[in-house]
Amino acid sequence: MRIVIAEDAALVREGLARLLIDGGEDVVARVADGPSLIAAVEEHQPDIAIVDIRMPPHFRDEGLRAALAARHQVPTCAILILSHYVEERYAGELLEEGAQGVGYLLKERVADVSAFIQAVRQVAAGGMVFDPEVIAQLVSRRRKQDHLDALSPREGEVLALMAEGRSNSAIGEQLTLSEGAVEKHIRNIFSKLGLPPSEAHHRRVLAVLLFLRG
Amino acid sequence: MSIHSAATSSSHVLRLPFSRRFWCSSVFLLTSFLLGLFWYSLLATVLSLGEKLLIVGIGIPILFLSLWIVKAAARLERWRLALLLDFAIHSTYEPIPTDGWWHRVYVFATDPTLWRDWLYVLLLLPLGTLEFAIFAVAFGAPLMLVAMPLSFWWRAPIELPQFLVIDSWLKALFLVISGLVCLWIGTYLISWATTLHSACAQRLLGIPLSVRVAALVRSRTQALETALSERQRIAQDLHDGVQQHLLVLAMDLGLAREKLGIESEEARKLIEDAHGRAKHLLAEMRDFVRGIYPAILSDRGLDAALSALAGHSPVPVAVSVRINGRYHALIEAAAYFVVAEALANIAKHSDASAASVTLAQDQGMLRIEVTDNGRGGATIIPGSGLAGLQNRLAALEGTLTISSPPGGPTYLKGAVPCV
Repeated sequence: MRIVIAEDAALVREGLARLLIDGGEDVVARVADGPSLIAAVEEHQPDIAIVDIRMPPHFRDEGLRAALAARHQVPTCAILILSHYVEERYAGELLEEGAQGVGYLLKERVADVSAFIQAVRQVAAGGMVFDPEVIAQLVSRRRKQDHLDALSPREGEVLALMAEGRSNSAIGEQLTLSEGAVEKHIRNIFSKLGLPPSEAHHRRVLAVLLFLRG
Repeated sequence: MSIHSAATSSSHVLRLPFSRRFWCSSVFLLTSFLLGLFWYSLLATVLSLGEKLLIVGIGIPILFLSLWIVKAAARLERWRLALLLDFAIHSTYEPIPTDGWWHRVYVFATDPTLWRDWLYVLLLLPLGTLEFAIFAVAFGAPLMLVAMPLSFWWRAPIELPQFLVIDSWLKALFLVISGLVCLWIGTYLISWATTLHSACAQRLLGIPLSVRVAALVRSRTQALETALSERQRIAQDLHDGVQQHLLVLAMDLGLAREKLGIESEEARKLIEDAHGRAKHLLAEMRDFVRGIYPAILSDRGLDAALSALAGHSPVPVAVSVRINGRYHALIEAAAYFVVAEALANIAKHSDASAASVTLAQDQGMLRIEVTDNGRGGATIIPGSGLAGLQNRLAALEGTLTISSPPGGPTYLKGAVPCV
């Protein structure tokens, strides 16, 4: 897996690279600001760009802006945003460019090395990974959204775990449900959200999108 | 500042005619009249001379000279008020620029402070005349009454009416006593006159109230903005420094944990613990820095920042935000921290199972309402976080009130002008 890292703090940048190289991945470029990220992605056509949201010059959302611009240039490049704080607003903006191959995690998740590398691989493979913190924020704003109110509390939990990018078996493990029960809940979610039967992965993405966008 | 305020206790009242203040006031009144007369004649001479010489050309500098005289007179008056009445008047003239002769003259001659000085100097003669009359009555009447019994020994050359002829000790004693009473009344008259004069001087020689209020509002806003940017800077510094280092530490420990085999059970346990503690510290640090200043607030505004706040609340919170766009950073920060403090209090004390946050703009006010279905009985205790926020809103001309009967529900309402 070819990876570009964009992070302005040298210490963290090198730490991340070491961690990924150690995990057997190929870090093709390490950059420290938005414009160099776009250039690096165009040059190396990586599988995934891991991007710090706050970068120079203003330390606001330059990383997110640059990542979205890079994705626009190279649509095959997945994006994993890292930040010391996760905000549902940024998650929504990230999803506007499409729901495949995007992720948004708290930086401190990096400390759980194998779980983090797992998440990177998942996003690079076209999956969607969102930090439980983002999900918590979204759930708190859920009252606005009528179509989601139709879901039972258990279905809400299942959907939140789907948004975190978990597989059915992982969801079942988390909620101590059988895989069959999880599948039943997911079918209910799809029908309550009015999602037509089609290719399963696509429907799953749509449900999560509805959940995240409101 | 009031000249009256000294005359309160009875012994003080009796001692009044012998106080330093009384004599200073008397000197002040007398000099008011003399100075009024002096400045009036000087200015009248200079102005009429300037007017007559206007055709020759040197009239203009002479008229300009009158402005210097007025400024000097006003300076002297401020000094006299401070010296004799302990009445300090602060005033500021427009700073005279250093560039260009004409520019300097223009700034000097169009200074509103100088023209209010003009009004004061004009008023000084009529005011001084009145004060001289008061001075004469206050001193003359008691002096005459006390002096009259002297006619026992020294007969006046004119024929006096019968009731003024002193022909008994009793009559003489009565006149002396009424003279002393008059002296006492005189002190009040003098005190009143100095109060009147100081009030006029404050209006004309001092900085106008509207200007002072504007300056206070400006400096208060600057102080609040400084405090806010300090918060932002501290949050940024922690983010760039402590948080990054902590993250690298946790990463390294995570990596070490992965690499360690089963050969050293004890070392593995230690590293696992350290790793766990580093992660815990990272989460604590995240909450701490966020509590100082949340970056999302300046990036995306109140709506986005409140979502995040609600997401962190252990009590389920329904957020409803009906505002148009962004507000001044001070207003956004005040509203944010009110909601943050309210939600923290709800989580800590209320036993509530649900809470709601409403933000709406209404008639130029940003209204903040936080409610919960908890046990109520909440108050704004002096020194508490809520009291601090009450002050913070008050500094922005806003209010914060709480209604929380025992048993609930609790309503916390804030309002702050936002246009």
